[in-house]
Amino acid sequence: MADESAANPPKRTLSLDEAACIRRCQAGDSAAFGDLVERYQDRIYNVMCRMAGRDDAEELAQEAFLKAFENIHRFGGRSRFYTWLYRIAANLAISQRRRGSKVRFLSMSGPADEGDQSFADTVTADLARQRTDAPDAAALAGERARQIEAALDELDEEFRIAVVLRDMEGLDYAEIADILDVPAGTVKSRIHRARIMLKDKLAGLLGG
Amino acid sequence: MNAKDNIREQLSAYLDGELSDAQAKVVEQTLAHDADLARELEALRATQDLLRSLPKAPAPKNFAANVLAEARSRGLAGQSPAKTSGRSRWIRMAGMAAMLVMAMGLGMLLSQKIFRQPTAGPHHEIAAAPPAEPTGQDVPGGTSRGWETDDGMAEERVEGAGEARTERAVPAPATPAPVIGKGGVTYDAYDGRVSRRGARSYDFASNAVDARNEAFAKLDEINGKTVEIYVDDLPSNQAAVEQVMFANGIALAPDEQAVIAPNQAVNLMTNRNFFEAQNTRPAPDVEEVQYLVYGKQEQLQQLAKALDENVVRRQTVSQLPEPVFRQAIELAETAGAKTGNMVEKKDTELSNMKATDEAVPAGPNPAMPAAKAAKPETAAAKTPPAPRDVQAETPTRVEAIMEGELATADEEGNRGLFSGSSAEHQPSVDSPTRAAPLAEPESEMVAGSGESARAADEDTDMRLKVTDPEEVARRAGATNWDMQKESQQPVAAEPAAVQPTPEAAAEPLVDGDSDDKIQQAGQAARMSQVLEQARTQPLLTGGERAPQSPSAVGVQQGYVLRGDVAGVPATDAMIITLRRRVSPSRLNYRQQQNLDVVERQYQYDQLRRTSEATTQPQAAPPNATPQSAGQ
Repeated sequence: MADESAANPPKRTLSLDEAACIRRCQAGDSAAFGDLVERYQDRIYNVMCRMAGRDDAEELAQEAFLKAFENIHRFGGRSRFYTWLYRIAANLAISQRRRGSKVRFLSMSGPADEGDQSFADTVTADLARQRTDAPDAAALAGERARQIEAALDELDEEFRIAVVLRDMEGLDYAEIADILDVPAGTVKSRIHRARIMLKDKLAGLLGG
Repeated sequence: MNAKDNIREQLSAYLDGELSDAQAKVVEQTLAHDADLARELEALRATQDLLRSLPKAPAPKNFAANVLAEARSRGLAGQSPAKTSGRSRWIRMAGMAAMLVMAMGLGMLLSQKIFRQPTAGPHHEIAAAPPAEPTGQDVPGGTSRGWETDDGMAEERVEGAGEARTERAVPAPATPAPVIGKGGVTYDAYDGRVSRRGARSYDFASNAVDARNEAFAKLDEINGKTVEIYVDDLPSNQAAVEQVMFANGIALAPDEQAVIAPNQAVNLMTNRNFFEAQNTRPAPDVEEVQYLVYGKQEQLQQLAKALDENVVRRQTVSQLPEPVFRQAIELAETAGAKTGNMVEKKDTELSNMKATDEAVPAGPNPAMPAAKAAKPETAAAKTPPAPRDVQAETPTRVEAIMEGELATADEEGNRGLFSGSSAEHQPSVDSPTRAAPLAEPESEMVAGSGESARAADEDTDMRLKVTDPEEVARRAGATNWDMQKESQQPVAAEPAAVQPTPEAAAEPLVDGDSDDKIQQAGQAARMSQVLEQARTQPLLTGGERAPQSPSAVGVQQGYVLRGDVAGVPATDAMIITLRRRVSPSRLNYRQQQNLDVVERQYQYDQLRRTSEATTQPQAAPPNATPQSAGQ
């Protein structure tokens, strides 16, 4: 993976810019920190959406960035910044999810028929970008997405975060292992098991 | 685990390209001979596709600003992070210790001094209070790692969800204080909009079908209670509409309230373009923002009046649909207002638009060439348009598409050519008229009447009035089209061909009056009729659209009415629509495709109706059948 990223000029350029940002940020430059936030806000926000629900995603994502800023001086550059950032975010999300599952004062997974308003927003916005052919199709897409969300929500945290980082964030196994601090073989196993469970839960959508 | 199970365990990794070449080869060889595993692989692939199909939501607007604001509020920004971190950690630890000591002391005091018997209850309750909560015991692996530095040093668990649910970050300090309006509505001047914090769009996607059916049933009941405003600058006019609603005590309702109460409006905008999300019959080259407003009837009437005064009448004449625009110009000219080169500009823009379309190779819209053939006007060899009866004119749909949009709307900040603000008429480097007045031919009207030429520096005051009584009388008696006929010569393509005459040299102004002047030129009543047409004319159908039956207005209207529930009388509802045309030449590929589909369907329907209405089955010409039309 390192070879691939090294052979990718845009990524390399981005990394150089990022390194400068991080150095400035470590020197106390909040504007540089703002650049970093803008660079990763969508990805972190999406991870939080998938892990903790959209209601909490914004606050959790904000908290992740604040923790990163507060401890940016500890980042030594030996791992990629986004891996480090993802690690913070993943732990916050897992912590929040487990806390929520114990306390249950936050409804992260209401009954499916109630619908998720914020999720519908997401679907609608995405459909707007995709120029869906018909409103009926939009309804179907929304329903399908809701089922996928519900299936994801039923997974345990360690499986869910693994499959989210892989299939939605596009990280490779080594990166996920680094983020979750587990061996790569564990990541491989978790992703596979997560997909098997999702396959069973989503049999209706898969036609099986 | 047998060999097949072992391969099965590898399928996900194979799917992700995480196997070595040798491992992948083994898997492939097995898959080639094992249909079960092959099916399982496909199922995993389909599952992966499903996950990837989930829409990604962008971070909320101003997210980064909010994070920075929160960092400032926590004392993180503007200081050395390391020092801040260390200090805050010490403060936090000291606070925790102090609270723990106080809690223990209080517990002991309560248990020993008051109740005089040792009870663990209070002690445990206080000891389990929040300060001890974020210990990181719930991180993967059950360790207290929380998150680590990249060099592997463990850090104490940072406060996660406990602090994450603190107060939302406040906007930047420069944010003006909110203004409280009628009815307690808060106007958030920070972004120039009525505050929509917490507001969310309605659940169109999941309730699409029901919403449409319900809306169709309700549509007739509120028919006529709509305000449609054609704009060339959607965001600013949206802000204007919201300000008017705010001033009239109507708030944007958070969509958590599925039941909309009176005095509230729902912003039905999604992603700036509702139609794009629900694009079937609606024209793909239209952007709309729609509001569904509930209120008392008198209140809604007052709102409509306020919108008319504060938004509609501020719209520029130049952005009106092309036929209505010409009629407005004609009326204004008749009343003595000077319209300058508005007609010329509009024609030029339309021609440029067509030229742009022609320059696009292999355009996806087959209807475009036919329309161009019907109107062979080009920018290079333009002739004055013949007088025509605008009222009787029913341009084809394609013509309407091509003519009803100003090309400058996109490039020049969606600003109309002439607006009521004098600030917009200041010389601008990006305006061809301002930068090189003689480089642009004057309008047909002005050139033909001999008053067209102007000096290069006569470009500042566009609001000077015609003071010559003879000129006023002459203008009042002749439309611009009549004056064009007087000239009987095409407008010169070269600027140098326009020579100033002594009469024109004495004329201090040629660029015309402002929109305000045009609208006030003694034709208020007729102008309002024109504007009414501008509001209600179906731009894209060229008069071909069926009456406003539920099935004809399209699904977008249905969604507008979704949310109408809970006993609010339908007569107390109103729809406000802001509509902006998008130049066909500026559509993206997908929009072009959508437009193409709409055009094909339209042509097909036209031919089918024609065939059904005018021919008998046995006498139908072979090239007039729907089948041939669809080819």
